Amino acid sequence: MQIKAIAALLILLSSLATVAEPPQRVVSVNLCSDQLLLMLADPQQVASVSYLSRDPDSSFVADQAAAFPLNHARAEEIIRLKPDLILVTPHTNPRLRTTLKKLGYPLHPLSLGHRFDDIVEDIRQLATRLGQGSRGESLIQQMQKRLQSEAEEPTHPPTAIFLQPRGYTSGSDTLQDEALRLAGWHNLAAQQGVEGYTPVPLEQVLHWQPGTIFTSAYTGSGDSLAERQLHHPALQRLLAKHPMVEIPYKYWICPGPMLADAVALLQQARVRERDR
Amino acid sequence: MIAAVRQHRLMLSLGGAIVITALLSLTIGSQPLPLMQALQESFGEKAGVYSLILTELRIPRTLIALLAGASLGLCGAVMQSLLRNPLASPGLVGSASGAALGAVITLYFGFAGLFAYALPLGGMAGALLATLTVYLLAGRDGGTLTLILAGVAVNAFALALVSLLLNLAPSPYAVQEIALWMLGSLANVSRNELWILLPGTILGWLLIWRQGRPLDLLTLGEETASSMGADLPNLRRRLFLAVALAVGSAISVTGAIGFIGLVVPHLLRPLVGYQPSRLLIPSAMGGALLLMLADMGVRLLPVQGEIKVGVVTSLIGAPFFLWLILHHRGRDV
Repeated sequence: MQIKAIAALLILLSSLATVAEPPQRVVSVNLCSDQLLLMLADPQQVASVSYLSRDPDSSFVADQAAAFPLNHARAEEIIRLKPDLILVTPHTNPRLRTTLKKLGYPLHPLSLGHRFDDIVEDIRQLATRLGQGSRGESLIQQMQKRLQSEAEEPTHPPTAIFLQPRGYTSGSDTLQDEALRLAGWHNLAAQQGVEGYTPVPLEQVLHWQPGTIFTSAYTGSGDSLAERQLHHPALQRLLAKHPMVEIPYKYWICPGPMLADAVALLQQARVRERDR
Repeated sequence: MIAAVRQHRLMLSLGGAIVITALLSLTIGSQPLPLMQALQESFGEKAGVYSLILTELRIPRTLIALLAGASLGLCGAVMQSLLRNPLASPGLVGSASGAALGAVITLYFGFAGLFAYALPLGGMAGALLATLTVYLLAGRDGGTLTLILAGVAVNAFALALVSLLLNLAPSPYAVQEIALWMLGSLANVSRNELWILLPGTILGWLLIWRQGRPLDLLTLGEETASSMGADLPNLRRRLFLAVALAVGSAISVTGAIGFIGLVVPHLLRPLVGYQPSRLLIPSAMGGALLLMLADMGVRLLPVQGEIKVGVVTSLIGAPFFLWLILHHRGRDV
């Protein structure tokens, strides 16, 4: 009886040890997991990141990513890299996910939720899996400190919306909604029942009469009808007194520590608005 | 005499329907618009939201629907008479897709930023080029089948190029606008687009002005028409240019809206005694009416975002087209 128990304990301990062994060839196939991986892992743990991670307009880790082989989220590429952990997100192609699972590769899923708490949870779990728990905790603390230093809740939050080319706005359960809330703005779109990232007619925007309009149009790109919509004369007249405020697009691609920086930008805009 | 009275009645009722539809179109949108209050605001000292919506959104949208619809209807009637072919229309002989291609090239590759009228000029050039290609492929006396086949080929080619170019365009938003160029949309147009549309449209209409009689003569056959004094080469040049101007301008603003140019003249032809000269103005009016109604339908449909207006015109137009084919089967087709 006793021997059996000890044997079971030994087996359990040894299996725990193999789980605790941090992965040494991690592959990420999505910009969002690329960024968290490069922020948390030791360089020698990273086997490959996705091609988007090197695009300075989208990625916060473009410089670091230059040191690693790139992938395009194709099964053949990934297998050739002999990974011992693959990071997957809700955006990962389900067929790719199934294939990798069938072939027996360990997958680590990220939730990529839009709430601040979801971001904290993703960082914590990934850091633990990578054997970098303390690095994860310090990253989380930095974020929280950043948010607290900016805090100074207004009693009457001013109204704002996000408006992107093609008339897309950010309703409830979006990164922008969370950032606006944390920065002391009142997101009119969410209040009016808009859910997620949804196009709204220009008429609707005029009816809402938002105090401030934020946008994150890609800059320096070519012409398109979508972008021309932001120059509609009706919108220009609404914006005559409160010009549109640009928050770079790359803050909104992925939930991650950059949310704290986006909140800081939104807060600066609120202070400017208050002091006008 | 009776025909003239009937013609007047037809135009009066179409005109009345256009006025009523246009007024209704001003009140329909994502939010109801109290028209009286909006008008008061518009003429008053202090402009409010209602006047902003009325003057900057709904009036331009309604006028663009009216003008673009009229051009498509009119040009359909002109094409059918000129080519003496019941299936000719801007959508089928390549003008519309050619115009969309021209507009896409100018808009997404930086030419439209050079000067305001680059966009419609691109549309006109595309329309003219595509129409001439179909015409030359089908030949002057080509039968319906040849014309349709040439039209199908040129349309497919132009739309494939539209799709390819939008994928290659530098703007990250371009790819999502493929559907817009292929189906057409009037969502969020402004008075800027109205000014872009207007010159080419008016020039095109003026070129068609008083060409009814030679088109009437043409129904008797080319030789008879020539012998009775119609200058056919000149007529052809003039009307091809007119269609390119009007359709090119309209499509560069709205995208390729289908079936209006095909359906409207057919619906009205029996009412005007099958006479091309009497068909032109009612077709323009009918086209305006149909596009305004389709655009109102798009705004009323309870879907998130907005579906494209070409979806509605095609839903009406495609079954009609099938009926037309069945109707003509066993005759000339």
